[in-house]
Amino acid sequence: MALSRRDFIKASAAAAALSMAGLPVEVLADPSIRYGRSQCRFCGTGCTVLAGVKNGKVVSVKGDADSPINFGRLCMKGYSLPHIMYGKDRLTRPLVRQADGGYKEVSWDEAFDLIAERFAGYIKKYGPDSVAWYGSGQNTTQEAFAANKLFKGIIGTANVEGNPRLCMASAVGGYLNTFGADEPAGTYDDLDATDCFFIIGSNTAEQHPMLFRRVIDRKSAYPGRVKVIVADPRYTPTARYADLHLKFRPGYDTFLLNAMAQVIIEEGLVDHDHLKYCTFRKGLKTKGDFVDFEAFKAFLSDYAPEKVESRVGVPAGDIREAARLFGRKGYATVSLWTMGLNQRTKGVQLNCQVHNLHLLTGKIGKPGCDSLSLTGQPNACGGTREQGGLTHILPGHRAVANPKHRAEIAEIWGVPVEWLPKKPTGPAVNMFMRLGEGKIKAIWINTTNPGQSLPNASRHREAMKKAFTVVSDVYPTRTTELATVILPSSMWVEKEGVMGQTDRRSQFIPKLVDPPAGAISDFQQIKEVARRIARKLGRKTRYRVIDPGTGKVKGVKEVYGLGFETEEEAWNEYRLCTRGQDVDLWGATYEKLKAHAGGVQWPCTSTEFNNRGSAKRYISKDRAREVFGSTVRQYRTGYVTLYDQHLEQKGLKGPINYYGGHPFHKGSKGKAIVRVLKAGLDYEMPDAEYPYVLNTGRVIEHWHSGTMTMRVKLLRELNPRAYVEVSPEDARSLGVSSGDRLKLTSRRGEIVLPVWVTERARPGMVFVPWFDEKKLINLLTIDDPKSWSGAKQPDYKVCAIKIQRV
Amino acid sequence: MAIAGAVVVPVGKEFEDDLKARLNSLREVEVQDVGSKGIAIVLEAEDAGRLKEVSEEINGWEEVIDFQLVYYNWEEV
Repeated sequence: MALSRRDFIKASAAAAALSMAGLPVEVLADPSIRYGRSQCRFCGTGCTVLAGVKNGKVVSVKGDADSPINFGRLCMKGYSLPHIMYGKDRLTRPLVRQADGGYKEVSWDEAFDLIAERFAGYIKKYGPDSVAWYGSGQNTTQEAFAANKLFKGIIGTANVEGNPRLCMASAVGGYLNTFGADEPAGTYDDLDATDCFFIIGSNTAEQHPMLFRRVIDRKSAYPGRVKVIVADPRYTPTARYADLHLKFRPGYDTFLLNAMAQVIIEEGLVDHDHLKYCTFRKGLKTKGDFVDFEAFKAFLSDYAPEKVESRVGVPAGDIREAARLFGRKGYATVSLWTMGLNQRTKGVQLNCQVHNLHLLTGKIGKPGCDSLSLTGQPNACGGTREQGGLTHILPGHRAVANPKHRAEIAEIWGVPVEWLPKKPTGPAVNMFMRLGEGKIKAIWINTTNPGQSLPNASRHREAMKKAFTVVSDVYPTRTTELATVILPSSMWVEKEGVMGQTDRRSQFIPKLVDPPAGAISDFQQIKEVARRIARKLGRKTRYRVIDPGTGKVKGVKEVYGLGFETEEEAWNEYRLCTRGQDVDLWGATYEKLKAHAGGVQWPCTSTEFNNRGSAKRYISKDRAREVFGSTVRQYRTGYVTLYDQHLEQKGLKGPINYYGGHPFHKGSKGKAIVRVLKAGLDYEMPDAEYPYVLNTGRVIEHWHSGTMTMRVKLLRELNPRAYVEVSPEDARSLGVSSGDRLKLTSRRGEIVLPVWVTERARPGMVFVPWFDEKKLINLLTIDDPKSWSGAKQPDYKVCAIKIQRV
Repeated sequence: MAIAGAVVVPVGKEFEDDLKARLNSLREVEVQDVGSKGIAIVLEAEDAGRLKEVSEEINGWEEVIDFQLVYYNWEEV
C-alpha cells in the first residue's frame, strides 16, 4: 500500500525517535536522495551531518551515526539546515549603492573592479591601515586564510579582525595565561568518562544541545556517581538539570571561583603530585611576581565561602559542596563554559580561575578530566584562533609582532617579509571606532552581521554607513543595509572548505550543490579581489606549488594574487604553516578529512591515513598508558592518540609537559600557571540610576543574529520575536505580567519589548535574546574599552539599565 | 500540520511506565517504543505553536529529565 505524504513524515519522525532512543529502526529510504557527509553550519560543537541531495537541492539532513561527536543525533537547528538555504530573499546579484540610497545590480567584474579600485586607491593615498577586513567564525579556514594572506601578506595591514573577538577572545586569553598555548587539553570524549560536570556561564542544554545529550547520557548511566553543578544567574534548562545550581549574583563569579579554590585547599582536595607541573603567579600576562603554593593559600583565605557568600549570593554550604564535588579524590571533573565567562570585563580572569581549579585538583590530562571552553561558531577555532584571523596573530599560532614568525609566514606565502605588518593595529570594536573616526576608509565585512552584533551598535552602524563598506552575505541583514557594495555568497554545502571546532577538531565540508545562480563562494570573491588589488599595487606573490604528501616545493609561480586557485591548494599551504607548531595540522590531509567522520584533531603530525590526531595534549605516551591503559582510541575509521603527538615529535620530556611558550607563559617552561587573581566586578554594575542588570544571549531556536534561522518557518514560528525575561519578583515590583511591555534604557540606548515573566530570570537581572533584527538589543550594550576583557572582548552580560512600564 | 519525533527521558527507570501512560494521554502524542535512551514518541499538532506548547508541557513534568526533539516537519500535508 502506498504511503501518504503524512504517513511518510510520521514514519520518518518515528524512525528518528526510535533510533535516538536506542532502538532498531526500519529506515524508510528514498533511493533518489544522495547523502554527503558534512558538518553542521551552526554552533561550535561541529556535529557531523549527512546532507541529502535531490535534483540539485538539499532536501534532507540526518546525523551521522559514525560521528564521534553527535553519534547520529542532531538538534532542532541541525534538522533545519536544508531550510536555511532556500529563503525567498537569497541575495543573488552584486549590488552597488547609488547616490539616492538605492542599489543597482552590477556584474561580478564590475563589483570586483570597483572594490579593488577603491581599496587600492585608499592604500596608495593613506597607507595600508586605511583598509580593513572583518571576518567571521563562520568563514571556512580557506576563506579566512585567503583573506589573511591578502590583507597581512599583500596589502600589509594588521587590520584583520573577526566576530570571534566578540565571543571567545577571553577563552584564548585564559588558555594562553595558564598553559602558554591556546585551546583545550582534552576532548569531547571526556564527557563520556567524567564524574562531575562543572558548567559555568553556559546554557549548554540549549546552546550546545548535542554535547548536553552526552552529559545526560553519562548522568543517566551513573546517576549516583555523576554530579552536575551549574553556576549561572539564570535558571536555565541546564540549571534545571543540575544536582546543584549556584545562582550567583551577576558579576560576582570571580568571588565564587576563588571561594571554590579556597575550599579545595582547605579541605585537602589538592593533587600535590600535579602541582609539580605548576607555578603560581600574581595577576595576568607577565606582569606579576611568581609566588608559591603557601602564598596562594594565604591569599585565598579572604575568600572563604562564609566570608563571600553574601556578595556572591550563594549560601556558603552550596559553595563548599560545589568545591567538594569538583575536587573529589579519585573522581573525574570536566568544566564547560561559554559566553557567560567570555563576554565579561573579567573574562580572561574568569577563564584562568576555572583552569586554576583543574590545576589544583589535577583534573586534567586524565580520562574524563578537562577544562573545556565551548565555542559558539563552527569555525572560530579553525579559521580565527588557529589560522590567525585577528590583528595580532599569524597562521599556526604565530604572532604579528614576532620577527621570526613573520619571516616564516612570509616564506610560505611567497611575499617579502617587509610587506607584513610589524605590529597589531586594534581589536574588533576598536577597528569600527577607527572606521567611525575616518582613519579606516574601506572595510570588507564577510559572513557576519556587525550592524546587529556590535555593542553600542548605533555608533558603529553610522561608521559603516559612512565608509566604503563591502558586505558579503547570503541574505539581507542589518549590515547589508549599510553597505556600499553587497556581494551575494554561497553557503554551507554550496561551497567547499574546512572548519575547526572546540576540541581542536577539523572537519571537511564538501560542495554538494550549486549556489543560486548569481551567488559565488567567498573564497572565489577574495581571490578575485586579491588578484586585482595586487595588480594595482604592483605586488607579485611567489606562489610555491607543494607536494601535499611531503611538503616539498615542486615549482614556483610568480602571480598577482594569492597564488592558490583551489580550496585544496589553500588548505595545503595552510597545513605548511602549522607543520611543527603546537597546532600541527600537517597530518590533516584532504584524503583523511574526507574519509573520517568527525575529522582530525590537532596536533596531528603524521599523514598516515588512520592517524586522526591527538585526543589529549600535554601528556606523553607513557603517561597515556598509565592513566588510560592504552595509547590510542580506535574509532570506526582510524584512531586518535591519547597522548600529545607534538610533545612526542619534539622529544619534550613527560610525563606531563605544559610546553606552551607564549610570551604570557614566560618563566614557566614546561609548567602551567595557577594565576593568583583578586576578585573583581564587571565594568558597568547596576547603580541607583540604572538599577538592573541586562544580560543578552541566544535562544535554542535561533542562532546568532537570526540571519539563517529566521528564514526557517518552524524556528521563526517557535520563537518569532525578542522579549525580556523578568523574574516574578521583579514583575511584581514593576507591576507587569507576561505580554505587557517594558522600556529598557541604558546609558547608550533604549528598547521596548514584551515581557516574559519567568523563573529563569534572577531578581535584579533581565535577559534579552539578540536574534531579532527588528529589536536591536545591542543598541544598549557597552563598547567602552574599559569594559573589555584583557583579550579585548566586549561585555555583553553585565550592562546596567533602568526599566519602565509602557 | 507540524509533525515531530522526540525522545523523552524519564528521571529514573521506575518512572517509565507512569510516564508512558501520561504521554499516551496526550492527544498529540503517539508513543512508539521504550529504548535504553528513553521513550520514542511522535508528536502531531495543528501548527508549530501547539507543538511547542506540548513539548514544553512534557518537558515541565517532574518525571522528565530531558525532552529532545529529533525530527521535524511542518509542511502542509
